[in-house]
Amino acid sequence: MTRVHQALSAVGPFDAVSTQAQAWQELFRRWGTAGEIFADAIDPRADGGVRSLRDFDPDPDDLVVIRYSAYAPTLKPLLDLECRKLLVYHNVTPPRYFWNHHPGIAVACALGRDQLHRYAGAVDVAVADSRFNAAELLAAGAPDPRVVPILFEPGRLASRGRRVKGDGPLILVVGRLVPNKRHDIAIAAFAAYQREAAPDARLVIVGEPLSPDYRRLIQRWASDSGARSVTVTGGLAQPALNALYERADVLLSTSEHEGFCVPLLEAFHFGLAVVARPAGAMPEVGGDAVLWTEDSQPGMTAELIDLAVRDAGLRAELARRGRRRLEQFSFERTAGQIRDAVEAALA
Amino acid sequence: MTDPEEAIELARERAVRRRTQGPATEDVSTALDGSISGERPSLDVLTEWSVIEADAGAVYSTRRAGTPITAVKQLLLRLLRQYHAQLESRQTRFNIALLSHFRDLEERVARLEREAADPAREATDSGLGPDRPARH
Repeated sequence: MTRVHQALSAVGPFDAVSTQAQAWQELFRRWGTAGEIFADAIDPRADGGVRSLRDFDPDPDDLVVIRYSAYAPTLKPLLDLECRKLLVYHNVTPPRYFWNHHPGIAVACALGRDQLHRYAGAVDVAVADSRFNAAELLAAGAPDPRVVPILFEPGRLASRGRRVKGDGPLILVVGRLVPNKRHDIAIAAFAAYQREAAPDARLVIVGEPLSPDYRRLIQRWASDSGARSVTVTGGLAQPALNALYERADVLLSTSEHEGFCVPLLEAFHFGLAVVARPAGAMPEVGGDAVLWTEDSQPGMTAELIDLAVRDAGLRAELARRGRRRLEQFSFERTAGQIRDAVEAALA
Repeated sequence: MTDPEEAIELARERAVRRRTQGPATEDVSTALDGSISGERPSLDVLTEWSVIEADAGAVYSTRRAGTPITAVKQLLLRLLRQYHAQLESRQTRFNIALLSHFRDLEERVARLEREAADPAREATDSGLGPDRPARH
């Protein structure tokens, strides 16, 4: 019987690629298809059940789903396997963001982008989770890349952590603490908003840091900006993040490179107003349900935050549009697209 | 109620108005700009990076109770300092030698390109031009 295995460069406790691997595996299980998740690097905090890629030994009848988001030395030999292969491209961040902050990650990104063409040309079916990523796959030589969005599971957003206390508008930034997310711009915009419009506003920055040094750098920007009530939480388990979404007034994203941006869908689920820069795949995910701000304008971003916090009617309209966007990314719809891609790879 | 499209327009206008009224928001610097390098680092940046100086203080553990693990890692690095210094110096030696070759090649290519574009002038400038015709 054909098994469907998944291979990743790394598994972490909070990142979207690992979460997607688990979501797909659960889907395969529902379909009665066996398979395991294998990774080159496994974070000790990640949920169990993930095995080292060094132990990977599939049968020729199996299907291997290769999730590609960075270079990993043990991924490339998979291309020589006899079994069928499905590539899922999650995007590789351009290395320019990392050379000065984490050379090791920069090297993995540079090699990852350089070697994408080898994967694109060697698999049976190539899939990207956004049109933005599919365009990169096409440029890398994939003949006919499909778009299969992130498998969005509203059930994950049901559990709640401890209730978030405190008064004043709560602005939330969610995403890994890495340079391409441009937390410096988010902090500058928040500082302007707090200074001009809402002295009691709070900013909560959630995300797994690139390194302890980079987290300290973000904290220093916050203190240098003159902003008060800025909290950098680090990575949070989903229930704690859900509690923040529930209490927050605005989700803010000033990222300048995004392959998809799962927090957009999570914010729509909670009816949260979103202020964001139209970077990468974000416009195709957020559509008309986001207050898009212009690049490098903390002033305009601050004004949009103010409007979203003060105007209940505006928030209601954004929430309505957000619910409509979620229909495009419904679980059933995406599960059907995954089934089509898997069947095409097995055909 | 403000329509989302109107809100974007309104925010743009307000930001422009506020900017013309005085300093404040637009003066807030974006701290990261300088540290995001170009797609290809310059030769000066490469020269800076060629000297390997690993910071033992930068090791960390991502585990929940990672403080003792970090301490053990730092102790190991201290014990192995001499060995790592040897590795670093060998890698630095290779990097610097390679960069030196690369600089020479770049200069040579640039000179050849100049000569190809304007052979007569380049030859004269470099003092390698053809002999002047003899006077009769």
